[in-house]
Amino acid sequence: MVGGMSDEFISIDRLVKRFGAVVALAGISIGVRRGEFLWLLGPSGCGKTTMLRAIAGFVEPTSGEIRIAGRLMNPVPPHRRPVNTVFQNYALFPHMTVAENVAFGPRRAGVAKAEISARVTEVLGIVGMSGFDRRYPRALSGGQQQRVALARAIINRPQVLLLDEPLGALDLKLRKRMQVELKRLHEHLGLTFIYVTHDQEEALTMSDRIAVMNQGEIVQLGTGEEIYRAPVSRYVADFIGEANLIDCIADGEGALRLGEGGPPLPYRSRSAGPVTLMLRPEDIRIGAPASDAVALDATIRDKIFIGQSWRLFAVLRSGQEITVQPGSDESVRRMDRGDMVTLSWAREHARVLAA
Amino acid sequence: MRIGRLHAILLLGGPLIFLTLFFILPFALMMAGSARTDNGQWTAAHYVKLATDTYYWRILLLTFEIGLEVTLICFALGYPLAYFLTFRAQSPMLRRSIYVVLVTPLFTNNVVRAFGWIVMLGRNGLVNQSLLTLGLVKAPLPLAYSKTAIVVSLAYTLMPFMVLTVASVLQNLDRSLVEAARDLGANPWLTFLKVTFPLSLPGVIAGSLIIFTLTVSAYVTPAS
Repeated sequence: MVGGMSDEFISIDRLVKRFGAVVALAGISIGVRRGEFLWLLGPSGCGKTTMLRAIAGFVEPTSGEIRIAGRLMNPVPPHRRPVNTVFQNYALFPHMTVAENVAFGPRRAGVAKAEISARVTEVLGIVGMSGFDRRYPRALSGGQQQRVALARAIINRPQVLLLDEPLGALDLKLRKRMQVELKRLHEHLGLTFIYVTHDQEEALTMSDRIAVMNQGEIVQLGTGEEIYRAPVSRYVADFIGEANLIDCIADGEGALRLGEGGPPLPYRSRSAGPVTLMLRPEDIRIGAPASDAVALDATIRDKIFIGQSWRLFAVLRSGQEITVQPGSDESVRRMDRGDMVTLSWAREHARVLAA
Repeated sequence: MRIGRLHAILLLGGPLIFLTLFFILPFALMMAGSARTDNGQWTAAHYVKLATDTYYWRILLLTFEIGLEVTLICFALGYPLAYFLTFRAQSPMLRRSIYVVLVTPLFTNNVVRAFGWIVMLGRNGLVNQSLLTLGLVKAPLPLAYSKTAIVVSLAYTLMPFMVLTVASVLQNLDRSLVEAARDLGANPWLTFLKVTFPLSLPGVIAGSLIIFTLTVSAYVTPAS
């Protein structure tokens, strides 16, 4: 295969990695465009970190190919790959100052001394760490170490920047701020970013492509909105955002019912037997349904305040629990435990998934 | 953790009394005795002799020379072994066997060990007999009772102190630092030189200190 699709900057072809009997990567194929910000999202053990490490060269694939800019990377050792990594625990060299840490890459590349110090000053400025060059990593906070790790990677002007849960150790506020800064940095530098995280909220906030991984495979690839709106499986629906996964039964013609002998639902399934109806909490309305909406009766079991609105936990007649997050209005505020309500949603908001 | 004053006195008191009684006091008595003649008069004669007689200086110099050589040999042979044990030896069985072989010499008494070396290196010892049989030498080599023999046998005995201290430091080395160095363009050799080795220096220093002090104070081995 020569070149592949022209807009594929990184192409990964049927990548497999086994550790003994454990399959970490089960034949992954994906293309990444130049300058793209790609997220690898999944729970721990799904293979996302193994995939990142394979691209960096720390994991030797059992089979399959990794190409960057058309060049086969498999035989290339880590120090010769056009990639740099921001490690999860930052991995700053404790015996070197911030400036020495950041200058490590250019020094190995044989860049002239004067240029190195100019570039160190420049990247420390970019990550907002000017004036810290003489400090040692141990004298820095977690957030500051994170910025230095970032500076140490981007100073090499790699073609690809790999980020392995780089914000995992930071507190929520700092994480949110660093996310925005990373995004800005990505636009500013124009590099290709591959960002590994298990935090779906983190991935969803950015309008980039997300590869949702499970058990060594990419189960869905798309923008955050696409995946949120149209998950391909019960697993993805459950992992990305909050979802009501309602157990339904499809009869021989594929018509859906809410459980055996339950009320019919205006959806069709391709296969008979148990299926799942996926419904996001914020898509459900309470009260008199619109004419073309799907409606079900339920009882309020609990109500909690979540800042901008209320979250209600309702129980259907079938015993199925449903989470509802309606807009904040007076009628919702007055609702109480035990109230009988009608839940409704626009037909296209729910999706039929395999059970 | 803060501890109370009484607690601190109790904790420090024991060792302090012990050291005073059995180290500081005898040492002070020795120092006092060294500046007196046999009939108790103050004199500097002993110190004058010590400073002017070249015999003492030669012995001191030789002692330090041997100390340095043993330490260097232990480092040169022990560091690679510690590195191998930590990063290369995959099977726990292999690692365990190396540790056993390494530590065994320490179970033997110094005198017995010295005797063993004499058997090995003597005129009719294993080494000389082998060399003679193979026709590599015409007459037995003066192996035992030489400075080389002292250095070799001390290095053999003290090696575990270097290997164990270095290995324990290397084991605690954050592997992601090594990966970070590779990631930033350093080849394996430079990674070792710039990251692994500097970070293992505390182990090297500790091991060297132990070996050097044990060598310069070794008495039985040089006597053999």
